[in-house]
Amino acid sequence: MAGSGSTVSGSAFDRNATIQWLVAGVTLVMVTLPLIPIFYQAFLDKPLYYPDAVLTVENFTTLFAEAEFRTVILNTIYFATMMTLVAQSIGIGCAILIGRTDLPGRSVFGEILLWPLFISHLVLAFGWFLMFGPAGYITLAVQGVIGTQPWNLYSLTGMAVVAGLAQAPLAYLYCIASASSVDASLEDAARSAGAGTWTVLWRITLPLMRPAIIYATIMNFVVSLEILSIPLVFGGPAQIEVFTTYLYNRVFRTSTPAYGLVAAASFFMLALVMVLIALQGRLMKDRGRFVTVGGKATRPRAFPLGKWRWVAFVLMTLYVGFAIIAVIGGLALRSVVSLLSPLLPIWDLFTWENYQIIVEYPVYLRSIFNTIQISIAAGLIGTAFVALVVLVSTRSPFRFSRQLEYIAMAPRAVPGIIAGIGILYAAAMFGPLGWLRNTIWILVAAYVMRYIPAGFGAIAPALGQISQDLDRGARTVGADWWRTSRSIMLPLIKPALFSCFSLIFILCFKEYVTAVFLFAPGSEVIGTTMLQFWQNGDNGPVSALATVQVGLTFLFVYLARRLFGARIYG
Amino acid sequence: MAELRVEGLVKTFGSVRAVDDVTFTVGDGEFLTLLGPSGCGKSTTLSAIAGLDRSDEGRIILGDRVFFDGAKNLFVPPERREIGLVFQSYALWPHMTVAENLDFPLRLRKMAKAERATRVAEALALVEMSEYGARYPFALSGGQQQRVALARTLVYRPALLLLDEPLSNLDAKLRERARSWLRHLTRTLKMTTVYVTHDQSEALALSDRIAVMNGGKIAQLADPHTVYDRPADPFVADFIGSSNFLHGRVTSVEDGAVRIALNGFDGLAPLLAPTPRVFKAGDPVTVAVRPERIRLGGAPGPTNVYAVRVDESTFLGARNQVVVRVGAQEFRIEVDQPPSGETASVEIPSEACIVFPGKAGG
Repeated sequence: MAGSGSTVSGSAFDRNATIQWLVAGVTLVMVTLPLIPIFYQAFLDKPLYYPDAVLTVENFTTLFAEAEFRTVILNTIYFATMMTLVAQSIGIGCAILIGRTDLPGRSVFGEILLWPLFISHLVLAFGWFLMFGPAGYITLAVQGVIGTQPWNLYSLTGMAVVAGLAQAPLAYLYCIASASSVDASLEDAARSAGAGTWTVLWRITLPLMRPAIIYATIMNFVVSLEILSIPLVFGGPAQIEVFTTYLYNRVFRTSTPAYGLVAAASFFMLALVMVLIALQGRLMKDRGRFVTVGGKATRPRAFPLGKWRWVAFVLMTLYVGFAIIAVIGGLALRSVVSLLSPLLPIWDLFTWENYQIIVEYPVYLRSIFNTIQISIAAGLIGTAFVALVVLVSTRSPFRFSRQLEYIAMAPRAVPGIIAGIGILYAAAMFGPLGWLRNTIWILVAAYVMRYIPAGFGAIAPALGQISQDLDRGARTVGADWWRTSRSIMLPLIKPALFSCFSLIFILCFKEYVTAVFLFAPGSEVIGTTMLQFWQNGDNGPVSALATVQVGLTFLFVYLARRLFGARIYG
Repeated sequence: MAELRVEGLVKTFGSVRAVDDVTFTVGDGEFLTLLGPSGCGKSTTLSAIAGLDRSDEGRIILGDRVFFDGAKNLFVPPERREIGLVFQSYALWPHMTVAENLDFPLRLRKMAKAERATRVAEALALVEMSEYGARYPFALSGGQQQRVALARTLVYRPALLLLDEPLSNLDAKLRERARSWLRHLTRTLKMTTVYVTHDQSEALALSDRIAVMNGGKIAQLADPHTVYDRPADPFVADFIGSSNFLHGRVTSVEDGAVRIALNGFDGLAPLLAPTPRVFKAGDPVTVAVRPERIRLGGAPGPTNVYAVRVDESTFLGARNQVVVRVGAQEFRIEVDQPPSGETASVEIPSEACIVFPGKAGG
């Protein structure tokens, strides 16, 4: 008999409990580290590294007394509402057209609609600027025909529409799954009760998509509060500030950074986003009312659009053509010409000069290599770490497993700009972090923290699919929790781990907001370099750099899908 | 091999006592079945023995090893218990071949490679699956998976074998074959075994003893014949096989037997039933009679023979189920030949009657 005869009580040392506590502890530290200095600094009268700083509420009173800040709040509310409205109506419209109708070419549209999700907002903002800005290619082309500037993107409404068009794919992403899984028999039932196509769509299909719509709406509203690039590119010249640009300008544009005010404003924004995320959680609670999964899997029948078919096709082509292809293509075009204008023939201006500049200036090349390194490191470390967090919080006897899941999901409520400021302050406050300050590792740490929730979302459902009996089986034959996790659970979720890596890689590759606050000479990333050179007016090299980023992203997505069968965004 | 002792086991979920003060002993080499309907606490008890769930109170001891002691806050995790558990779902690891599935527990025990190979081959031969070592579980039928699952637990020679409804995922024909195969194997191995099922025929066929569970408690713990012939209470009488329940009152007490006036048998001779229990005249009682023990025929008059009206006759294949009526009292009988007319007479043999106290009804 193989039994040793010894018994072990729960209090003796075992590696399982040690690992579980370690994972929970590291998660807690990572998630709270950027928040603590913000909370602390918000109530200090001097920068937090001054030994004689004292507690005060003055920062808040000063902040709200500022007429400027009140304008910022009003601007933000208008911008966010408008952006969400535009993004949601287009996104939901696309989801229904692609998921539920016989729109021609819907699979191609569906694929292109996901593109903007892989690309940084900064790149999109530059693309919009080059095509639709006051001196943009399409703006000038239209002006040449009608005589006046057709639109003004240097306005709050202009910015909101751009941001809305850029965010519509997110709404589409959340709604398409719901739209294409609506149980056809529910619609057939309405139809047989005498309802026409539009009535069914309006009274049955859309209400059944409600959880996805609510979820996406709040998601987009949060994004609208967080978005930095579009207000920076279009609001800057017109001196229109929203929340993010207010924070950005207070940190970078003033001679003496107002630590207290920035922290107080960050605190305010953080509270706002947390309320929204909590609201989202509450609204999603009684989803049972909308569960459309019946006993049998039914293939949803597409609504025939009839004569509207081609109208919808033209509208969709216009959206995809102007808001996605023209924006990305415009950047690529600008990168190979010395000047982009409808008045001059493009082939006369063709040049490789912009790419030569990238190759010759070390900061350009360095930022590309840094970005790749950081994305790979954060992807690997993040995937490994998130896998542990998911195992501990969903498949272990750890006492605080539920709480761990909450903590792990908390970065969802921390906007990138706040994470950047928070880690910047933390580096000023805690010695060892300051030591990381000038390396790429502070960015790796920040990115891993930010994308724990995204990784969790990629791994947890896959693990949930695996029967509890498989780990219980391993436990009874003699494997402890850690051995079971390594030998049974992780190999079984390999595809999800690849997807998680790919997702974190893409998110880090396009990330710039957090990096803006944390990079130092030597640890530049593509986003920060683009921003710097764009502010100098070097549109050519910036376009080339953006094109390189987009090209590498598409290459990576293609390879990840082909080689590992990774699922990124559906 | 060793003796398993479960003492005063309690497990509550919220306000529900899923296992309510359960005590039993499984002797060395004995095959004990926990039998009961779903929610009776049998699976919770098994999980507690395996260590997959922690109970609230009680003790679990295998041989000289205490697995769980609620009073001393002692709990041995499942991987240290050296027991084998076969899951209802088989729980074969899909990313490992059959041989790798069997090899994994041996690797955990840090065995040399050559010995591992021998053990795996032995275990596969034991379950007659020698040719399938290189296959992946998805390429096996349900019956084959079940054998591999059993081999995976036998390969490391656990001190205790736990089987959680291992046959319930097989179709009816296959289940019968698997049952006799399993019976043969366990008789050969002589392992201390706890078997959980809701299927009474499995329990009767396989077990040395059966613990019938109901509402978190053990209703009866005895060998299969006793459980079938002398059920301890109406629940057991109904759950094992099926029974007619006739209510009535004791009219007179004789030596080791009672006479009972059954409700609805107005004006008819009382039923004579032997019983080890002590009753007095006037006590309300319930009499359980199995349908297959009631006989057709005989002239009314002698003890326990009654004239009945035939209400309904259903052909079941091998036998016929007939619903008959005496006055207002209806009961089922099972016979080879259904009665031809609308009336008949039946004999309820005294020895087929089991008398339980209580619930006279009228």
